[in-house]
Amino acid sequence: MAGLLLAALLAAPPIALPHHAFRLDNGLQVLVHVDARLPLVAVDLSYRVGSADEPPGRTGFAHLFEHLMFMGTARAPRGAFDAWMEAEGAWNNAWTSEDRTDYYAVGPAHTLPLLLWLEADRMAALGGQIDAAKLDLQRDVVRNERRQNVENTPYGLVDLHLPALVFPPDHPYHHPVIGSHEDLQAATVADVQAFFQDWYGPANATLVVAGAVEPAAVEALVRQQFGWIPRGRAPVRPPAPRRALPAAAVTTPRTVTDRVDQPRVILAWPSPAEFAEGDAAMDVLSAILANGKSSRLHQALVYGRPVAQDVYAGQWSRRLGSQFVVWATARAGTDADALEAALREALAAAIERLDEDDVQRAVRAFERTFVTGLESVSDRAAQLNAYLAAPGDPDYVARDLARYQGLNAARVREVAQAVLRPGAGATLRVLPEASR
Amino acid sequence: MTSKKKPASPGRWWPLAVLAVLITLAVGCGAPPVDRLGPRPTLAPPTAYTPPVPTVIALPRVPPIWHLQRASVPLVSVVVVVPYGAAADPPGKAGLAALTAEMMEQGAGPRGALALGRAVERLGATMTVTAGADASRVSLTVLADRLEPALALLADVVARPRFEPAEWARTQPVWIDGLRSLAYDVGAVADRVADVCLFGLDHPYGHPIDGLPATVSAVTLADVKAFHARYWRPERATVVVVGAVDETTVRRLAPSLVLQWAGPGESPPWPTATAPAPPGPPVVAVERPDSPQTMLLLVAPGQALSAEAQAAQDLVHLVLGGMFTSRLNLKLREEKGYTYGAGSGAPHLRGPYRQEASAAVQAEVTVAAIADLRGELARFAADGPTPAELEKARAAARAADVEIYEGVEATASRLAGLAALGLPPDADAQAARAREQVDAAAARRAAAALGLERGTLVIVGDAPTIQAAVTGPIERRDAEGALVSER
Repeated sequence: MAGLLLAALLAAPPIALPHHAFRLDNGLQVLVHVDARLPLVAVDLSYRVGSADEPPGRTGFAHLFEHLMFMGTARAPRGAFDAWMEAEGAWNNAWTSEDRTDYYAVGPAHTLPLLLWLEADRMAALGGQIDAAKLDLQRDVVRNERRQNVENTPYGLVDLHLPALVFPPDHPYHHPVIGSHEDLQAATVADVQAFFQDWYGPANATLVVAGAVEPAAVEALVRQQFGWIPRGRAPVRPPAPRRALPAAAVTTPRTVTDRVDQPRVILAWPSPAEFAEGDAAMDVLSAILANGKSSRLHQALVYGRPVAQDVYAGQWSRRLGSQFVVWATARAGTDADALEAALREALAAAIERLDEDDVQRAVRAFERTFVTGLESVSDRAAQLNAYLAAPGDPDYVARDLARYQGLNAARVREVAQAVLRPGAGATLRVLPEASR
Repeated sequence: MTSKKKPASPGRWWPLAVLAVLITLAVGCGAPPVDRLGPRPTLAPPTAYTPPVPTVIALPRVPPIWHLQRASVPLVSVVVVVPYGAAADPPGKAGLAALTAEMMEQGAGPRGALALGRAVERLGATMTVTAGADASRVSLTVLADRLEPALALLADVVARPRFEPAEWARTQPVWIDGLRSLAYDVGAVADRVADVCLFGLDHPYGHPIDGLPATVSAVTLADVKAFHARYWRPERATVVVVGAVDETTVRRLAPSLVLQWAGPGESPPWPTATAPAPPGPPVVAVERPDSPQTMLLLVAPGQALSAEAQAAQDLVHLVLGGMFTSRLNLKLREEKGYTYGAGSGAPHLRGPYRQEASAAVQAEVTVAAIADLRGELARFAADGPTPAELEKARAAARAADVEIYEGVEATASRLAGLAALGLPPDADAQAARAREQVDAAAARRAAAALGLERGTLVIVGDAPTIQAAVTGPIERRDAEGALVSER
């Protein structure tokens, strides 16, 4: 009780991401965030396209395309993008989700003109520069990424099977971001060019520059380097379809085998979309269930009974609808039936009994991650771009934190009971392969 | 926020081995139209950056405190580090240092395991106890206005862990289950098999930090208590404090950290560096039936290095396998498409450890991938980096220094790592200066000295694939590194 009072008295940290905003005539939206403590700069360019936007028969294409964006143009031939950047001490990476494709570079502050120039060049010219050799090469790399991170990693197959269990066949999230080998193999150069035309124009992108920069100078540079690029098409993304689970998922647990030591039982439910009412409550619920030793599921299944060696809970927030995922991995000697029964029982008990202390501890953890997650200029650039994508307000950070701070036990329980209804979720079991 | 990103969102580049440190314009034919983008920009020279040096605060009866004030975010990280880790595990009890660390989290001072966890969480703090090869540490991160109550919890964990039998009875079997699971993780398997082959299980660096099922089964709670009493001692510890806290406050709070912390008995000796490993066998294979990829890990014994030679080695590893445009990644990934990423490195430990180069490659191309990997290693050993590659690596290392010291938690962790190795507080600043002095000859010497081209190939994959890929003797081991007799 004393701890609870203490926590309640502690002030929440002030939090803000100040920025200079402007938009070019071709539609490119730009934010500049100044932080001159270190001679560093981060450039984060986000396109509003992801695996949800892939045409039929082309699963995995948005992510394959992300790889192709590094394969060179007339101005920066194959290999130059990375070579020129790394020669100056900068580095880059990119990621693809269901909703977005994000390209970022971090480097010494003096590299900013080069980082922006390389992005402007490929935004303008990449589509026409991809040939079969480049496509084949990155197709091989991506298929090896799939083998390494999904097929040859313990429990990696979960990522392949869960989307189809939680999202119905007509839902854009029905397939995994990494895609199938067959569809990756089927991709053509014409697909690449069409995808570039459809999605990679400046009107469909948002750019954030953060670090030791001067806003007026950045604006002048961005206007010169990006302003001449034609607007391109304004893609229309269809609204989210209905969210009923595939009927088979509710009635029949899906069982797959993998090279693992012990069974894992995964439970997944459709849950409120990113930033929608209930999203933050499910986030807090996930922390109450499985964040730390005193979390409810850990206490019940790992510490107490003990039937599990680990537990996990997460609200995987997405634009068109989220998944709430819970899993437990069996201790030696516990079979999947017993594990699933114990997991369901512990979950129900946790929701029934969660109290204000659970919620306050979870909220304190989110307060800390809002600070630690925004320490680096690259994290801040990425977060500003995330807020531009959804909810569309770059000043959202304080309100984002407030979504968590406003919660109490009754509200978390109410949302949890609505989302985790009996018969509303899917069950996936991973069992050890029979030894060969 | 950060916790919301689904893990394992496919990304472009995720190297297997990440290093500790880290022109022409093509013009078409005919009269070209004016290029609205303009030519590739000419860049101004970079701003110089030197890694920050913490202030060392000396107080009576308190370990040295390395303090670095950072006002940028309202966060403080505190690390208490002692220079003893898995290298101090007794023979046959691999995993003792790691289990001691784990048990320190299972209740301390007036609180049992769950109460301690809740107390930390109520402050919105994180507190973890971990063991590495050369050091063990308690790491705390908390918002600055909650530092004082959090420090009290940290002091309990460091000095007054409860080590209750009931907690041990819970902890040990779960730990063993986790180790059994690791036998299915190809990267972990290759890693521990390589160490066993180079050093042998009873060498300080020859066993996995987390132990093996059999060695952890041999550990008792009495062993854990004895390890804590012997090695977690204030006279061998360093306290690192980084973040939004000033020196006056640190001086005021410091005594609470170590009150009544001094076990009976003599201080353990300062750890010393071990001798380099002898050369290992040419090929060690671990079977993984029907594996879609073959894990390739080449290792060679590390050597004791001067500061100058260390700086040169760090730079040449960046060139060989520490960057996206490194030799290995460009060849195996960007030219051939055999892998999602290839890399190399040499972890910094107190004594000579190992050189490594690795890639997980598509099973069908295993033969060609091994040839390319060995070919690149031999070429690099013979010729060393080009002048442009050396400058690229220097630029990368300079930039990495800035990023390493950007965050409060990462900065505290970095400084604790230096303290654990017995290095001075300005070690990174010294290393940065040493890197600037590395010339072409020193880089060539460092490249030639890696020895990876004649190293041990640890290969985890399908048996027929391995059989087809390797000529000559193969030493067969299981996923825990034990020798397997020929069938």
